[in-house]
Amino acid sequence: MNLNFGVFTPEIILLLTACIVVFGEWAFKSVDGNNNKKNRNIGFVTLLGLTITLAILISFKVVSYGLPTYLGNLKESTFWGSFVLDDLSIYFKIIIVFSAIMTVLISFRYVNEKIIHVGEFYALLCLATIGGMFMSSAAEMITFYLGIELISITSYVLCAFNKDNQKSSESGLKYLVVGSLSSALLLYGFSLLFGLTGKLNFEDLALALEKFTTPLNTIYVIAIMMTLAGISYKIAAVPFHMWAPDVYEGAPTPVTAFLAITSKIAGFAAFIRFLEIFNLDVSSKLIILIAILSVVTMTIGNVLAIVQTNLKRLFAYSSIAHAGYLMIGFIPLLQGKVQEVSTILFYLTAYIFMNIGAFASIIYFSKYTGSTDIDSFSGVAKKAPFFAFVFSACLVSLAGLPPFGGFTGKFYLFVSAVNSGYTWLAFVGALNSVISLYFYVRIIKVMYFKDNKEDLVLGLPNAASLTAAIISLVGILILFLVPSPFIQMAIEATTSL
Amino acid sequence: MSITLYHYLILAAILFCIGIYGILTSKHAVRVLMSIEIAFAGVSINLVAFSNYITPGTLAGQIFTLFIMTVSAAEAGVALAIIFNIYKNFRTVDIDKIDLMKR
Amino acid sequence: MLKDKSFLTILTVFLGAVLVVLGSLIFSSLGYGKEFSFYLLSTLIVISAVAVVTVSNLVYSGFLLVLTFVLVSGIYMLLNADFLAAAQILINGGAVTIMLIFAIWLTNNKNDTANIPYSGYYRYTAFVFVGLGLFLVLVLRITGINFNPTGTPVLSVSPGIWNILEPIKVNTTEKIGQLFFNEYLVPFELASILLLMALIGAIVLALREYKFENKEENLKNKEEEKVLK
Repeated sequence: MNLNFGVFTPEIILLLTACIVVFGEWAFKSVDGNNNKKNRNIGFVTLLGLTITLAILISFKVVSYGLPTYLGNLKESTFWGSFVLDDLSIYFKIIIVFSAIMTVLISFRYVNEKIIHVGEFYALLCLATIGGMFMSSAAEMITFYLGIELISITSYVLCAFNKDNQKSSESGLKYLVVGSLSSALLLYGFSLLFGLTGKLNFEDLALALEKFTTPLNTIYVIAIMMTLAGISYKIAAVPFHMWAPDVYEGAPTPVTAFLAITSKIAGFAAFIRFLEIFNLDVSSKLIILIAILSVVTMTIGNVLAIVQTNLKRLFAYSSIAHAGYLMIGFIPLLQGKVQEVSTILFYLTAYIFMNIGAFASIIYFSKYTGSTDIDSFSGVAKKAPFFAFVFSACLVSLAGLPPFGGFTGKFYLFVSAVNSGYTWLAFVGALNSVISLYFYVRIIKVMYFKDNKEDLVLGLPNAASLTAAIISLVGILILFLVPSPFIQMAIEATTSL
Repeated sequence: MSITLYHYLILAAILFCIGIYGILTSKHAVRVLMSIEIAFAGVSINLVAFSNYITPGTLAGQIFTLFIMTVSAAEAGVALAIIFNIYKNFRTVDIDKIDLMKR
Repeated sequence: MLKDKSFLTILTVFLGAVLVVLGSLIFSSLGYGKEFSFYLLSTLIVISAVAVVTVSNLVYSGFLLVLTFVLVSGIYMLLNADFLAAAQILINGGAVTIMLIFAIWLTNNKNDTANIPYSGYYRYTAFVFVGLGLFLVLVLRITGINFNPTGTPVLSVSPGIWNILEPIKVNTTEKIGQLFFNEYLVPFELASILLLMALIGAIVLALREYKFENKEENLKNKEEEKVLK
């Protein structure tokens, strides 16, 4: 029972950041009453807090390589089994915080212009990130549930943050209703699992559930179904994907980016944590369900994305489709080959870069075009060649073509599916990538080859979003050219499973 | 016939199903919230009953229920604020009318 | 105020709730009324919960929700959870439902279509799916009733699923306090973060906006709008 509060250092620092920026309205008020300056300062403080958090997490990672520790043995501090800080959770926390940093970077200008309560916006973003971090290292039902609720309720508020905007309020309400429904399902499943075993800890639960597997108890099956339904809404997998398009379209664009990236990563962290509790008997029966859901999810996402005319809506379907691709990675996990989880980790890393680049471009262009319709982006490539290039690169990467990181990620996912004996799944995945190429390339075509009707004037991008775009471009290139160190890191992260 | 665990579980299942039914069939946004609260009450009865009969003396289920209460209170507060905004923007709280983005 | 019928209804409902809880407590303390109080409480809970989702006047259903929660706290008392029962009345019966009732009153619009229920077919379909599908599956599986195609017993409660032990009474308030600061420390802190977040979020969303911080600028802006009109 080693109580080392050092394990919470990243969360505490992020919480302090949130507390500081929530007073931003007064604390960072500049003398001449310049709102821009104040908002910029608040954004910088948030960025600073997130960067310190990331640095500490990386130092945890370094510590786990065997260098001398300064906080004692972190991994044995489990707080009665409610909190684990293993390699997997550190990896997930690093990518969650990194994606939050990128989200803050791309939202600087948008927030400055369209959002009134800037301090609260960034504070809620930090708090949602804390929720995601707790989700990735929860080892007990209550912590798990509270982590999910922390990130969900914060997302409801963030979606409805443009208060005068009808669509924004609507997206908040829709997310709230779907989220509450699925959290009720999750809780009922948890209560049945608790009733079967009398345990709340995932580790004890896994041991105690053994005796219900042969023959498979029906109550156990119902509990699994309800719990999986509750979690799969978080990653927007079929059949709990219906909220995604409306919510993504209505929410402020930085929040859309946050939902598509950070929230989804946290959902996958939770999913992997939860799938760990099943033993091989159960999970071999779950495989076919997961495979079918994965196929349906990616097909629905890709097919429905074809008919979309709004970019945010299209990216909602694209993120649904990517949840489908990523679910392929669960199959080796369910077969007991935990090392193959590294494919999910690697693809999620690439996913951050691809989406951040795309959303940075969407935010930049839509500021001048005034809408996120695909047609309004016609001919922007001549005016802003760099952002158009980054956007195109990210789209090609999302479609899974070389020479970008998305190709490498998808390649590893499909190879692991083939190695697990699910060649047809890899085939369907590849087929879906071909379908997705159609609507991704359509956007590129509109940007490069369609003439814009009126004289569109594009201003200069701000430094923050330019940085984000450059980082994402470099990221997807590096993940293609030298993927091996990243794959190695992902494999090391899975050793604790 | 004395009261056993099953009685409480059936009561909890009834409440949970009433809650789900309410979520599916309510048009008023506030009534949806009420139905969610009823479903949570069902889950809570489940947990407390298990805590009483499966793990007597350890109170794990009761603690879980207390956290559910906390979360549902927080959720109700946020939901209230969102519904105010909806009402301000749409002048209605009819869930079917709040549908600008269908395709 | 007495002319309003709803006031009387609400008063009766509350008095009834208080009587039921007190009565069940007395019966329980006498030692032979546990069955009686369980059946009474659960019947009323089901009736009031059904009423919450079906009564056409939403204010009524708000107050019936209070009744439901108070009655559920009676069930908690039967399950040896005294602290939880008190917390249930205070938090769910008091705070949450009052917030919901305020929401109903503040969003009250006579022309609103929200109070018109869905068409019958939709509700029947939902009822069939939830009431007959989900509910029957849950109850049959929870109680372990087997429809045995070959054997003789068609309905029999099998004891095998749940590992039922004899309940013991403990002093829950003290123990919950200790558990909060020992075993459930992490969730406890996380819940405090959650409440902080809900506070910030709810205030930000419910705040009334002025576009400019300066009052004079606000006035000027309004005048400009008038001129434009």
